[in-house]
Amino acid sequence: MAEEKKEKTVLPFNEALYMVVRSIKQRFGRILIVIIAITASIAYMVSLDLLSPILASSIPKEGVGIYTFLLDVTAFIVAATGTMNSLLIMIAERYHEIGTMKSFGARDIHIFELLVLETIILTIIGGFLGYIIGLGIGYGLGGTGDPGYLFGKAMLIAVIIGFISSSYPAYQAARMSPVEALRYEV
Amino acid sequence: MATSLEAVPAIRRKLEYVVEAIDIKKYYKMGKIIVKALDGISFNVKRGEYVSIMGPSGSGKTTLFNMIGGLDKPTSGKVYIEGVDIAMLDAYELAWLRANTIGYIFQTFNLIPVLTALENVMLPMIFVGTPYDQAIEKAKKLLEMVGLGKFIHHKPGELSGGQQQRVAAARALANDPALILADEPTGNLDLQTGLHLINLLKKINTEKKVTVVTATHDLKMVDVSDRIIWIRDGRIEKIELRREIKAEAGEEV
Ligand SMILES: Nc1ncnc2c1ncn2[C@@H]1O[C@H](COP(=O)(O)OP(=O)(O)OP(=O)(O)O)[C@@H](O)[C@H]1O
Ligand SMILES: [Mg+2]
Repeated sequence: MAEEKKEKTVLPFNEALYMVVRSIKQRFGRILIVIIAITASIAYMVSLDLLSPILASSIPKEGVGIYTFLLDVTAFIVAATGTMNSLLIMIAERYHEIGTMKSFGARDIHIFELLVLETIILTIIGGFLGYIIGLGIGYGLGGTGDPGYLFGKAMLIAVIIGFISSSYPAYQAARMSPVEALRYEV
Repeated sequence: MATSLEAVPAIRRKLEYVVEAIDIKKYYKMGKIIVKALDGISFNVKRGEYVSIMGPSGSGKTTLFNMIGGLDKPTSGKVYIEGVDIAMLDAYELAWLRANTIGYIFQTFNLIPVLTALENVMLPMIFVGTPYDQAIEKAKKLLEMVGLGKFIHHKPGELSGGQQQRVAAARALANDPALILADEPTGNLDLQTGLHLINLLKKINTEKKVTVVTATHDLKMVDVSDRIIWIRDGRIEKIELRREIKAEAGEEV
């Protein structure tokens, strides 16, 4: 028997993904707020990127890069803080579930993975919507820019925001003992 | 790499006992007051036994349940599960123990709301790496055994309390645990449904030879228990065998 080799509890990626997708589908209403926060920020970022040459026409050429960068940073901070705030609440509502999973063998890392994965999927959805909306606004107002580059940038930033904003709440939830998590009254 | 439980003979004890609790104390500090939730509790549970821990609200049943289930650590004292001192286990080994050796049933059912009955029962099997097809087959069998063969694709929200608790019982059995631990399993069920669940637990105990320990103040549990450990204020008040109780009540044994 391969008993000795199997002494670590596991959570295969496809199972984690399945659970996360089920969770997103069924809690869509509550989760929408996370998506909206990201959508708005990415739309803001993409449209301003397209419009920055126009908006910055009064400042020297070298300034445009800095200006765009500062706008990106603002969009990033707004999205990350907004997302983390919603996540803190969303994850706290699931402490009971987390405690249950832990009492059936889930380890800290599994809980962390589930929560981060779920958030990243949400921010990718939000990032994509934001990209489309931002492109519409930016071009609609006569902006210019490379849509391929902006797509890459939007998605990358969405994923980074998802990871950064979920790390702390997910870490906190993951390291709770099953009893702490189960005691938690929502 | 975590070491196998089998590979640590030094911490193995007498295997006739599934649970050995030795002088367990659990103190909580509440500001300046120390709450002695458990104040020196010792008992053993033999393989195949059905033991109920009874006592009034606040007597320490849930706290004791958490200690012997490896869900929380005692302030002092030792807990051996299947001969293994659980204080010696690292996080990996503890997760493995929870997944394999113990099956928990909670008062509030605690099913994962977004998963179906079938998936809830499969979850502990997924955690120990059971192949998917095998997990599905076994989960189906378990759900049939608890009388829910027609409800395998229902979500917890679409099931009654009694049905949810039966799903929880099936889930507790997923990895063929040596021990089922149930904290107030009938606490949220009406009389009839509660009786059903108690009979189910007894059936699991006798047919599957699984040791069952329940913490409860449901007196219906007395009839199926081999032994009752009465606790009060974190201490054992008395330990009774069922025959003794039946004799007291003037019934035939
Ligand atoms: N985390 C905690 N912090 C402080 N005190 C606690 C904690 N957990 C339990 N207690 C206290 O320990 C005592 C025993 O609680 P426990 O929950 O074990 O009782 P119980 O027998 O399960 O009661 P019930 O029948 O109401 O479920 C109580 O006085 C309780 O207030
Ligand atoms: Mg209790």
